[in-house]
Amino acid sequence: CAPVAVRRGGDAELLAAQAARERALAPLDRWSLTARIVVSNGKDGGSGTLEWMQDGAEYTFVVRAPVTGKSFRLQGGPDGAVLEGLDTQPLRDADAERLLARELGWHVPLAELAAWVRGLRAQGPAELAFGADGLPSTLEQDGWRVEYRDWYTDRQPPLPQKVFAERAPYRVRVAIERWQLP
Amino acid sequence: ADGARARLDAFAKGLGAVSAHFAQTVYDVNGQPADRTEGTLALSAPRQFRWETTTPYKQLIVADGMHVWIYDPELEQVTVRNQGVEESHSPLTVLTDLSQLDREFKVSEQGSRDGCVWLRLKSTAKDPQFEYADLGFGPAGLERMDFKDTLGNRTEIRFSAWQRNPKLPAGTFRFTPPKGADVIGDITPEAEVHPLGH
Repeated sequence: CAPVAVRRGGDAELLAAQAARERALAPLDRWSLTARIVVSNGKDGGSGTLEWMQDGAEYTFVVRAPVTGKSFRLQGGPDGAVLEGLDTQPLRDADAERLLARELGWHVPLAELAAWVRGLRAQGPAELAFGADGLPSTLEQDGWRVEYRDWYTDRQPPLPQKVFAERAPYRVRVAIERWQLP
Repeated sequence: ADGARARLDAFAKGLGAVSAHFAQTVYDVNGQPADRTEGTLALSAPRQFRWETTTPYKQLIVADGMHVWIYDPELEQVTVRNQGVEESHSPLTVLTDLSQLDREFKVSEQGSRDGCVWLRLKSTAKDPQFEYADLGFGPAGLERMDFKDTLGNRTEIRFSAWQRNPKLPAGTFRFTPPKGADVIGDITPEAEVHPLGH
């Protein structure tokens, strides 16, 4: 259910509410989510169930598509990334996003998505628009357009349930089944 | 002998199509259930299957014999791939075309546990997506399929309500992307469909 009215981000009250949400959520640096993910470059891509476990600056990003595609586990952090499951040997790179793009052809802005998937702005300038429910409906940052199609509003602060991110020709869509936060 | 292989052959004899309910649990590396889904499946030898997840989310997988379609209505996305060699090594298609079993898998009896007699299938493919798949036969026929993926995650599928050669709706093994859904993947025209290399 896409939000009805869209109010531009200029509204101080809405921006203040967003800042409050970010102050509440940003410091919680141990969280995890279970979701379904689809990644595409307009021609090709992949999909599967996603488990994302964030622990401070370290994270584990597991995608499983046992019957229909590839399953892999990507572990990333300040000192590089390791990708297992695609090859008999683990694959490594200093940069997780580059590793995923090179080995799987998946273009996923992992660092920024860690904020966007929680409905937060990543570092740097961002343009927000809000829905009738006062929650972000779109967030534009670093050339990406992030649409918040649905939210879990039965918790405080609310967390996204469906996130569609796009920077032509790349697309990352996540439907979140479960959030786990401290 | 009433070993698992005999039970499999009995299950497969004269089987054109079959349908059932499934309950699938995927366990993470430390054995915790990570993903539980339920739905219905239909299989039709030699290469057609339909795997429709209904809870907790909707997802449809249709293999029409040439392509494997995956449709996630919530993500408004259709992914399509040639039904190449990979598919023939997924446990799902083992069920679909049991006559291929000995050509593509090494089969071994595993004895009985959990109320089933078990048969292990080890793929003969170069780098299979599965270490092995175990088929469990109980009083109701094929009741369980367990397999481990390349990450060591165990998937357990429980089957129930088997129907042999059911009357299936016409479009069961066909898929047409709905209007507005984003379709990605490779739809090679029929003439050029050839098994995917790794």
